[in-house]
Amino acid sequence: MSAAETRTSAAIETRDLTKRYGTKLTALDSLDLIVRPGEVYGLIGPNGAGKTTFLRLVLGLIRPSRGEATVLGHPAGAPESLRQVGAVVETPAFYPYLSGADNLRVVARYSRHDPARIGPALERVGLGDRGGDKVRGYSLGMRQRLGLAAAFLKDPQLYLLDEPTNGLDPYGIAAMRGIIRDLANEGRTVLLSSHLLAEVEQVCDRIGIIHHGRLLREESMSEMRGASRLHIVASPPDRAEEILRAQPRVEGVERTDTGISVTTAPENAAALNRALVAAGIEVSELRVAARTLEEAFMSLTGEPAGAAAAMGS
Amino acid sequence: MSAVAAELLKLRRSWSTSILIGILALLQLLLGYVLLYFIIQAPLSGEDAELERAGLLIIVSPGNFVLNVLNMLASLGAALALVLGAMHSAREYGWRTISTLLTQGPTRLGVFGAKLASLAIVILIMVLVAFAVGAMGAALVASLLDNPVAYPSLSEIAAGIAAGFLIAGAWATLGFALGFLLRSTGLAIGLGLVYALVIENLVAGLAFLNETVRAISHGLLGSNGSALAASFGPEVPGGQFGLLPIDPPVASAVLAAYIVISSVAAAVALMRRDVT
Repeated sequence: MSAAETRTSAAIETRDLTKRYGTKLTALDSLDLIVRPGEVYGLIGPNGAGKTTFLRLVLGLIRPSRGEATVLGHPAGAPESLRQVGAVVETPAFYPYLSGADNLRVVARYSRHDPARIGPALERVGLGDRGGDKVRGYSLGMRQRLGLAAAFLKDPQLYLLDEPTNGLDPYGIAAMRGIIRDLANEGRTVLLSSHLLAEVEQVCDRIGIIHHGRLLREESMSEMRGASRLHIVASPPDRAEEILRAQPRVEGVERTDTGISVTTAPENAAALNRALVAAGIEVSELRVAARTLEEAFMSLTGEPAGAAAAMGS
Repeated sequence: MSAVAAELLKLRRSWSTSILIGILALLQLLLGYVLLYFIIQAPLSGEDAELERAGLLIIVSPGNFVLNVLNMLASLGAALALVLGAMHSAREYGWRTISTLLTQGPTRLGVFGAKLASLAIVILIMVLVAFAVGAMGAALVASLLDNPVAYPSLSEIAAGIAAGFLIAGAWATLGFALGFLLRSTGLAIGLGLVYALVIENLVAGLAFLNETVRAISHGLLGSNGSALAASFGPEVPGGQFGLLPIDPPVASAVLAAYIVISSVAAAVALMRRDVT
């Protein structure tokens, strides 16, 4: 796809997008990002990285200090784009004194969509029997699901989901993952902002890592994981390391706490096993060990171990 | 129109709307008629008691109910309208629902217009309820006193409703603007009431002592609202005690100017500022 094609067909495209608050705080710094139609794009980063600021800019709730953003071919915040966008940003905001169904009625009237969709939307998120209850009695997870129902009402081309599993129990998280996959299968574009790296890893086609307001990297999941590695436990380890270093198509060998990490294509596993056994080395474990998103994230951001897991806390 | 319908749905379902309108109706009945009826019925004492009772009989008479209702709207009704206006805008920030509205498709001006139009409808309902209760209270007191129930002409009632809408609308729009400017329900209501009940009365009280303060007072919401309300009563040579003599067309123009200025300030606040 050429750059020009990408520009015209991108679901979201930002160029030099910058948001400053006063002279000291730069919430978003020269962000160039493209979300392609039909993909599930994961935006990950720690709290305060700029994820929600980005979503607010895309929705036109805040205005950029510099740069521009287009959404479905229209300027961010334009009515033409907002009508095709379903958004759940932070904890969805609803009128506590209204029922879930009445809140959706307000949304339907504002977005000029058929109120007949309210029932099916509530059913789809599992709130079919609670739609008549006041939202003030809803749990965080129920509000989150009501936010998604509000997005479904518009039957949008693009979904912006900011921490959509906040407050959901394990069943709710699994259901949300299923919903995101369904949306992808229907050809909808999803921008998923989350601090739960495992969750992003399971559903996203491409991801962008944002840190201190800057986009550090934007690539596919397989690219992000980098070259595959083999994890080998062998004895004696020093001799095994020596043998492995001498093998063709091995890009790197590294001793870890639990064994030896070899950077190479997975199809080399059998050849390496043969070489080690031929040299009289006892191989007790050999498995493919792809880099996790958490490892990729930490290597990019330079955060200490454990920081990625605690990003959202 | 569908955005206006959404706003009316919110207002209709909100207890605070019913409570504020209900309080105005109750105050109109109790302070405007029931309390005065008991004062009229109480034993006379003092030199001017007969004169005072005659004056109260005029106030509670059905022929004077337009003035009675407008006086209530220009005083306590003003504060209630201000609270209604402030809640209608500021609560969107307290609940962060302003983001929900602004991401549905309409322009910011469209959202603003829907909120303003729905507020105008509710204020009109508030005024109509006050007039209905005033008419019933006047009829009740007249029947209890064995007096005839003779209302003013329909044209005078219609003019009174228009004046009441202007008075309550000006206060409601001021509260509406404070809500958008301050983005806090408590602060908007608090500051609005301090202005309505303290500052306005303080300045109006000093207006008779100093020319400059008097000139300032001519531009105040309360002074113009009260002057417009008083114009529906009997003409008093030299003006009514405690009221600035402001011509009704001037008072109407000042109130309309408040509505326009408050609306523009609210619209600018919503359209130009980030929603975080």
